[in-house]
Amino acid sequence: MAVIHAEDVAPDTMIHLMESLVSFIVPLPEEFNVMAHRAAFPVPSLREEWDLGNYLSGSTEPWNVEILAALLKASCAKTVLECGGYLGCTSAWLALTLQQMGGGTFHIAELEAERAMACDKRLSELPIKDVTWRVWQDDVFNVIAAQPDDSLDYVWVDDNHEKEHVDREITALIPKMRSKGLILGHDVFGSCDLQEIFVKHGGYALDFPKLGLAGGIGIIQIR
Amino acid sequence: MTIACVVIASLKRRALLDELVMPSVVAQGFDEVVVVGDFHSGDGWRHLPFASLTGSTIDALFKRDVGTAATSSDWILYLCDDHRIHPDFSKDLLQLMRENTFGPKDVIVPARFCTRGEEKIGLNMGWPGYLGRAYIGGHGGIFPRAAVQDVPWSLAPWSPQWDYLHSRILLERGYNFHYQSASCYIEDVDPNGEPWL
Repeated sequence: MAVIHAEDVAPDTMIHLMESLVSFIVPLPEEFNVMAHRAAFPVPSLREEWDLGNYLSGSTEPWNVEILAALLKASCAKTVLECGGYLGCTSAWLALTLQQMGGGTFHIAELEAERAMACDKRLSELPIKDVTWRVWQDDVFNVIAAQPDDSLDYVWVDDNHEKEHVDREITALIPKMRSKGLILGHDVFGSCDLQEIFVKHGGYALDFPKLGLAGGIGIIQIR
Repeated sequence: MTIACVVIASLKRRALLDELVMPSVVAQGFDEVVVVGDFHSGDGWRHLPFASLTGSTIDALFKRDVGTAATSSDWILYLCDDHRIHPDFSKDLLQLMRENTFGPKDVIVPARFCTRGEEKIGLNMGWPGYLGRAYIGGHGGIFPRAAVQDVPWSLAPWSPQWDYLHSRILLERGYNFHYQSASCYIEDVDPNGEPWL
């Protein structure tokens, strides 16, 4: 039986966490709720996540998460990187899918401390014993640089959505990818309009219903 | 010493509550059992309706406070509606309490697992926690009533990470968390918990 005592706690951490985590709760306009409800309902587990309020504004849309999980399975990936973990909803899906595939290695890059904590906590409570995972609270370019060349099978890009950043990110990722590996990215249509970046790197952009101002999935397969 | 069980219910898990969770709770012989949220009354528990406030997991904070106010036992087991209790839970808990001198600053954290096929898989309940900072996972926990009166659930930040943040407050106020690894089991029984379904 392990016992944790009060003196183990860093005293100045909690107030900062309180202030920052409360900012996660951003209500969606009603029309987006209705649309997401309709789209998510055929799948019980996604409906549940939606009902629980786990798909907050900024989370990857539930229908897109399903596509990501399907592509992960189709790619037979063993080493996965998620750039931008946010609340860990997509992270949980990817991790559980990896577990279903027999396990693998999963890196999550998340710069903001409170978001990194949310991802870490979420993954730590899942039955993913065959998945070796790590949440890196670090700049995404440091995390990418730390990966060996030809080591990544599957990457989900969903952090800073500025075109210049995503362009640099994909450029940095390509040498790290294995042959036939997939680089996928969020919010390629709408306000972020990242489709041209994916096309520039030899990929394609899929436009799907949005929960906010941007949505869709960009996809690049490494030849 | 008396023990209450407060089950936090949501509409989507009504069938799970009927078929798995409530039978496991009632069989324990707790002094009080209340179900807070979307459910119905039944043999062995009181139902307390609760209208959703936030439409999110944050509602669990308020449901827990309702359950606290509606009971009077010395200790309260809070249980999420996707977990059932092991048949030996009460026996384990009473033995644990006999063998240890737990006071108003001690919180007991159940051991958690799920079953995949024939395999039982141990699941984290918050120890060692994020960056070594322990917490009591929102899935279940056994709290002295005095602890919850000292730090009501809804006092914690209204965040999806409420369990982590409530635990931070308790730790900073000198509470001790007693994590179980081989007794006092709760089982994650959510059949929709697999995202590939």
